[in-house]
Amino acid sequence: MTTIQDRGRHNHIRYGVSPSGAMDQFALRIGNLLAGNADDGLAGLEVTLIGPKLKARDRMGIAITGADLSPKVNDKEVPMWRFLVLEADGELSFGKARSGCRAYVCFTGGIGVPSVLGSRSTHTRAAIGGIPRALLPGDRLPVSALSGDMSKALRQNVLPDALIPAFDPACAVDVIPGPQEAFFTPDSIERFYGSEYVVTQDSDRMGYRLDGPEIFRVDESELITEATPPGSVQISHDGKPIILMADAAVTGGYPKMAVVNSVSRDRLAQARPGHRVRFRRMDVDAAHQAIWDRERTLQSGREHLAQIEISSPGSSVHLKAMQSCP
Amino acid sequence: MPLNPTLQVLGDHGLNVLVGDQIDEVTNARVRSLLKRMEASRIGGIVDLVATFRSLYVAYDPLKTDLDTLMAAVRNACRMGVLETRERARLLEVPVLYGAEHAEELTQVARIAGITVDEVIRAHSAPDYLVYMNGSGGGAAFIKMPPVLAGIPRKRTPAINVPAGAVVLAAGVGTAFKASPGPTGWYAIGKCPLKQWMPSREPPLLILAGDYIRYRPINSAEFDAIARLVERDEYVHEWERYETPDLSGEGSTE
Repeated sequence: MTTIQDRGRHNHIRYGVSPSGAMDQFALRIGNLLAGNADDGLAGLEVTLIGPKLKARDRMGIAITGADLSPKVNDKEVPMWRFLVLEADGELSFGKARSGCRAYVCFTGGIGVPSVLGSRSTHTRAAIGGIPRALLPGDRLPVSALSGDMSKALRQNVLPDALIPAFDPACAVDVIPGPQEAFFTPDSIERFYGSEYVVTQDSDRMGYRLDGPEIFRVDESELITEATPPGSVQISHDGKPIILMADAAVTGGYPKMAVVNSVSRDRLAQARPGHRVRFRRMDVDAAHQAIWDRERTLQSGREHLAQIEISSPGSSVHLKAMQSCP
Repeated sequence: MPLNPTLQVLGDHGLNVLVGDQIDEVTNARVRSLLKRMEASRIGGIVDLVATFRSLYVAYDPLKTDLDTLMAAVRNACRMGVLETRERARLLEVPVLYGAEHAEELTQVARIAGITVDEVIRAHSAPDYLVYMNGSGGGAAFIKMPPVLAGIPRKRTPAINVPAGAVVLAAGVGTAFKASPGPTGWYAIGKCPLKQWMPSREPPLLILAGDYIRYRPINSAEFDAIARLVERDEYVHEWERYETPDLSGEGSTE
């Protein structure tokens, strides 16, 4: 599945609208900087496991970040985490999913689809977005054409290896204990933090259903429905954790054992069905520190990578096909 | 009167302000009042404010404010107390076809409640409901169930895909109808031909927190007729003016 995502729409939660936005915010933002965009929140493509085939009408600048889905230009593999030029009539395609789950394709100048409620992000289930569904063959996405001077200016945009995240099939996820931790038995809380959970097939942009040791409640008391921000780890009645992600419902009544930190959610976005996660307790101050650290990394990227001003999109990238399963 | 809430950290960019511990109109009026108070105070770093049954969720940007500052601002707003005790509200008549493709679940609800299907329909369509909040699934309008239907639990495992329009309830509450298709752990007892999500409007919802609704049972011919009008954007929503009861919780109107 491929959708358009930016940093998300965060101020319509009160009307029940999920934030959406890139599941891996770091990958999208660094991708925008590599593509030469001063605004790291421009809309890009979020490609989940199976990539599309895209054809550029004119010469354009791109950067591919996130999961390694073997990106190719004109059937030749191309490097990720750096600025690339896609020549006129050039074809971008993907192959085997080597690591991670979601790749991002950022374009110099972004993707110029209309903004809805302050964001270009697609929420497929709610049918909200500049394109309110997953992309289909035949779609034409407005993208800016790139001049020779621009590509010269951006050629050196390469992310240092040290800043490229690794996506292992097992990962630790930092969480802040949730307000309903006391709903669960002490044994269950210990199991939750002491065990490995497996990401099931039933996992998408709305949420990840996990399999692993069952969590038991102290009693049958019900929680009054309240806000459920992305990252909330709800325990459903079958005792299994569900981690709410970018497109999740904004309110819910399942008790929250914990809430995954913003920075760890990026890592979780790259976990595939079958991958394993462990939960690690963290306090809110440490979580905020991690957000500041990520911000500083992006800031240093901004300082070391060239950015250019670009006028409104005058060209388009044409989605030719959805690749069959690798 | 000043509020004395419990503040809960909800992840690294959220604060939950618990105003009370039950679903009642007085507590909810206080939540909505606190929301207006916080909006008026223009505290920096707040991304959104979400009123729910008995709590106010404050989404914030940790790069623009810190938790101590935010908590102090919330406590300050609470000390200032509720804004108004009586509201001029509006009431919408919500047509609903009970049963239909949800007949099986309607029967289950009747069995759990220990009454007949007709009694479920009568109990469900009798009250004037306050809309306590807009919530999950495209801003659905959340209401409190009358006592006879309050004991229906959530399902053990949520259903994966329930269509928009489904009139759902569980755990003492319900929504006017589902605003968007999707999973739910609640029981569906009927369907409504109206649409809650109106993306071309601001706010983009038909029924808002603080509104009132009343269900009107309809048959399948009426359902089809209304659905056709809604589809063409020609349906006239039947809003009435509604004088709310005194929500001060003190028996006075100050």
